[in-house]
Amino acid sequence: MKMKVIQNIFLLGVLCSLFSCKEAEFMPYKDVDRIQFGPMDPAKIYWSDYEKIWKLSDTAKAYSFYTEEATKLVDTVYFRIYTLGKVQNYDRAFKLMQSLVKDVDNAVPNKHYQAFDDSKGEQLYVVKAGQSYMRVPVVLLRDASLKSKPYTLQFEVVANEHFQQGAPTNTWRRVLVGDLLLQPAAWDDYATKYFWGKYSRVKHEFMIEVTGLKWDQEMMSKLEFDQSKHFGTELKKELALYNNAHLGEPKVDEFGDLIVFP
Amino acid sequence: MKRINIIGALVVLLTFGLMGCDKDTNSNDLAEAEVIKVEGLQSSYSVITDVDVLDIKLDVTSNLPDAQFEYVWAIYPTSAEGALYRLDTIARTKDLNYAVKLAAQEYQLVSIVKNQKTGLAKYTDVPLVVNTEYTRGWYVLKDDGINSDLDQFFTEGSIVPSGKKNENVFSSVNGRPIEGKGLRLTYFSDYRSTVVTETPANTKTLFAGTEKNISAIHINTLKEFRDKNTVFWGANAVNKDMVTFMASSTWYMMNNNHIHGISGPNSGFFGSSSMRDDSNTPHELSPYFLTSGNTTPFLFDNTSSSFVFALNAPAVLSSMTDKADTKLSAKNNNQRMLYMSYQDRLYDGNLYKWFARGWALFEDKTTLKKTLGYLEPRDAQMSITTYPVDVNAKLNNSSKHTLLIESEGFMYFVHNGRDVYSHALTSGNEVLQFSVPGNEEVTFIRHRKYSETNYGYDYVMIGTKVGPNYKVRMFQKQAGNLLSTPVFVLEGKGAVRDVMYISPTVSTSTYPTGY
Repeated sequence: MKMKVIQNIFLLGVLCSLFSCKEAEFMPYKDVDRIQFGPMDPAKIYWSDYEKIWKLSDTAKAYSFYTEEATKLVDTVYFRIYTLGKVQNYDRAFKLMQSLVKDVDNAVPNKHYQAFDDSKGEQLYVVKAGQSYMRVPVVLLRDASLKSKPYTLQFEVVANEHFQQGAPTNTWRRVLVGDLLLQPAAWDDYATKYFWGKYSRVKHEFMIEVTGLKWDQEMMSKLEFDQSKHFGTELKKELALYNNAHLGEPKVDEFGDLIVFP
Repeated sequence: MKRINIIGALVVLLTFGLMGCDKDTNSNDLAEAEVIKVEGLQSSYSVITDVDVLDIKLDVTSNLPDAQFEYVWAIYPTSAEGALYRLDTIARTKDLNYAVKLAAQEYQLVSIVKNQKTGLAKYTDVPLVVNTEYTRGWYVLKDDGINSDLDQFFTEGSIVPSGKKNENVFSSVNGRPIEGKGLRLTYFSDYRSTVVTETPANTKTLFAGTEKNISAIHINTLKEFRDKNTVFWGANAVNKDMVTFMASSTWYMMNNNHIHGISGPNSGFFGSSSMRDDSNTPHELSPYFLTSGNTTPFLFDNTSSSFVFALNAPAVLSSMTDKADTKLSAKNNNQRMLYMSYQDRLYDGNLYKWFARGWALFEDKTTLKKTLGYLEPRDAQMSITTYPVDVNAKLNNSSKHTLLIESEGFMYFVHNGRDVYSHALTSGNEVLQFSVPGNEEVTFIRHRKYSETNYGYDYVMIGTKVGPNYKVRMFQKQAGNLLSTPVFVLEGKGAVRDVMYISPTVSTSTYPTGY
């Protein structure tokens, strides 16, 4: 009997040793396919400070026809959208829908932007086979009403036969469109503090006028640090030139504040 | 059944027994520790790329018998242009026979010798300085009255030129001289460009400044990669009297008596010139500057007769106030600056900061009386101790000046175009140190010193012109006085404006930023 107990203990030990080791299991994505917006530069997702700093960097954009030729009646701004789930070998359409924002002037479909369900754009919102992310075009229309004030186009990606919505914080994007000067996204808090000072349309207009440059998002987002310092000094000189030529009437903005560059 | 169980138990025990054994790798035995000796390496090497072959024969021994060695030779850069620091294997043989084809900079040469039997490896590394023919030698900035060029005097094993010379080497490499009469040479080892890499990275750059242009020259190749048209972010209405200098981690350029700067992340392009104030009041900076190289630069506006300082390539220059003990106001003092230079620096342990001190020669705009001023700036405050220059003093009628930087308290200057005097800064005692012979005329005077094994020097350099030729006499000094005979003389064609010794170990901070 005693021998039998010892044998069983041995056998139990052998069994335990056989089953105690196991290769770590992969955790494949088992949810349904989803879709959500993300950074314009896909590499940013892997940056260590993405969640903290960059997650919202491409959320909202401002576009103005102000600096474009009068003949330009249509233009496009882009966002980037990412799929979650298995990459498929067939094209998958996704669906965008405008969401109205309270207390602002909301953009009107086919007046300020090409409606997302417009037949002309039905091929615009398709993730191609083998792709997991793409640029999302938003076609903006130059309506006369944009000259008086900017309009807000907020939209979100909604569920369809291919995708469910992704993370709630990443399902929406916003465009401020106008035909007047708008503060470019690159004129952010950092740029305000170190280069351009407080935003005003009068200041923005002054910058365009004295430099002959557009000072729109595309141009400002490409400025290097030392180049911005250079332009900051140039603008300061131009402002001094103006104020010296208008003694007692220095340049003020639409709020009545004296225009200054840091 | 019982038999099967016993057999099974034995199998299990045997299995555990086998798995329970492991090789004893502890070192708690009393065997003699292995010592590998590697001999044959010098303490350092200096070679010319594309010319020299590193030929090193090793003598390797171990105190253990039957050692079987394997070898690895490798290099890694210690002062890389760009940011790549990588160990590269160059050979796996006992002796090294390596035809050097490397970018000119400093490396460590690594030898790894491993006894395959014991696994013990001996790691040895020694400095390896890789030169091109351009990265070592005396450079003379000279001109013919219209255009400037460089002469290079080679040195081999000592600071005294070997006799071999690269005349008009800038023109030889670039196909043309530099526009304008020469002014000043400056060397930056950390100036940013895309000469070496795709994105802006540190580039060893010799700046040759002239009255009409500035040339940024990559010292490894001597090719100009930027000039007055490409060295700025924008264009300037006037480019005149262009020289560069380093101060407080900021690269500066004097141009047309205004100052341009580069600070922070950059591509090496100078920005718009700093304004005198928010109203952009017209100003004209003296060409001289006071900084040790790592302290805030102080400048003098000859228009308003006021000192100003620059903080990190500012949009607007900062004004100064007076310290209580000053004998001459830093603001609106009715002086014109004739000369200024850094002399030495002082560390303030309470503020954890260095402060530069210097001297300036002023001329009163009304009375034309000259005054020497000892300058002790502290942040935004200036203290000036004045030493009126006697009307009969030679300094009262002087032209070219140089301070003995971080050395004895003397200023040297040229009187009547040919006599070099020393002027004791506090006592005012003047001594004739050297009179140029014959028809020679002094075109340049500067004190420079430099430390490097076999190549160190501490010279007062006096450049003269006679007819179409120049001479640069290199004088040692003792207690502030020149020794009677120069250590050597550089000779060539043209008029000398500046002289600098360059080697792979020269960096931005090697030469204090003085005149």
